[in-house]
Amino acid sequence: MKRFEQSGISRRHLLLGAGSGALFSAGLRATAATPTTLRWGYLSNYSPFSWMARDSNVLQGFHVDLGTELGRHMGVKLDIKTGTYAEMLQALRRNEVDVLGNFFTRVPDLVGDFAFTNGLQDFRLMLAQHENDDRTFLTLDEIPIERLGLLGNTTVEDQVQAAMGKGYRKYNRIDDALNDLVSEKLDAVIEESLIIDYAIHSRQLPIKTTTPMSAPVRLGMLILKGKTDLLKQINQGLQGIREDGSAARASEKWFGYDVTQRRAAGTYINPLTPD
Amino acid sequence: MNALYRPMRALLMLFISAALVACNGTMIKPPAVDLEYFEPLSKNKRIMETSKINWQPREDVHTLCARITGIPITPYSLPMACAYWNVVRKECTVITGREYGINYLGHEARHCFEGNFHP
Repeated sequence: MKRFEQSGISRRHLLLGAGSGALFSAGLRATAATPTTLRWGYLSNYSPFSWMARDSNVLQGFHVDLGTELGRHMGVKLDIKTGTYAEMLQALRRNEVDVLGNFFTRVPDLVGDFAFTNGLQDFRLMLAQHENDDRTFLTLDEIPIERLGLLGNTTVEDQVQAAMGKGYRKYNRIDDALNDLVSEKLDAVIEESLIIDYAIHSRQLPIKTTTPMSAPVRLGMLILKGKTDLLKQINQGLQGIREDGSAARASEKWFGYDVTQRRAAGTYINPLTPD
Repeated sequence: MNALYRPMRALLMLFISAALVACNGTMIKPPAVDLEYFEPLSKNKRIMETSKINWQPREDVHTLCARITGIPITPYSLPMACAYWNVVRKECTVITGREYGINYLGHEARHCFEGNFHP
């Protein structure tokens, strides 16, 4: 597990350090119970959310930027640690980190030990199509199966196989599937929405996200259960960076638009309500 | 025999018709959305100032909109129409049923400019 500080945060708090006692006790941002340093974990190989840049060995990504903004808003220094998924869960359980700053779904493996913060982004599967393709595919069976690409050995493949059987094009790297979509060897690729959005934005690909293929699931950061004050403070911080626009700015940087806003809405009725 | 059978058949047909209306009641009753007026957002507050709208009337609107919005199909909730959008491309898709009044289409088209305005 690696450990280092984000330069922007540490510099700011070195400057704040001399006189910060009065500021914190005055309760300008932090409450009396807010620690001045939080041990903040990230997965080290989770592009585009948190990963080490190959050339500079600097941790980067959307979640890293959100964490930086959150620390700034809460007025706390982030003591950053990175590792694999298993390492970071273990670090949380052993109370070696306070927060895992990536966003996760409420899967059974996690809900037992961890509390989830409020979310800023959804997880959902999305179709990608070539930007010149005006066809509308609302269900998987409307796509010729041999012209559908996906990342193999994933839950995406499991779901597509359960719905459609085999016959789709399976890839080891999602970038290869998207390249085949660009060269029109595929009609569509199904993948997590933000993975596609990041590829489109960072590589300026001539493709577009089109139909949501799964319901949106709101994600949250992980905190060991029982740390209710910390959970409350982080949720207030998340609300703060949403309201002051810094979450939206971080989102624009990585995806080209504000992913903290929902991308779908609908109308429903209660069938049991009398006319 | 035939004289006896004919009224029974008529009654049976009436019963089946009534049952079908009850099953499809949610589809054919007038839509209850947007019974109040709203004030449109100014252009600079919209999620998209202009929007290319793709309208898809579908038989499977309930299941499609359940998937797209996350609104579940339960005895107490039935998704009736939905919209999803791509602000980068300034494109929006509206899904309705095939036998709706105009309110659903108008309501969903508003999402194409103002995003998720529901509280």
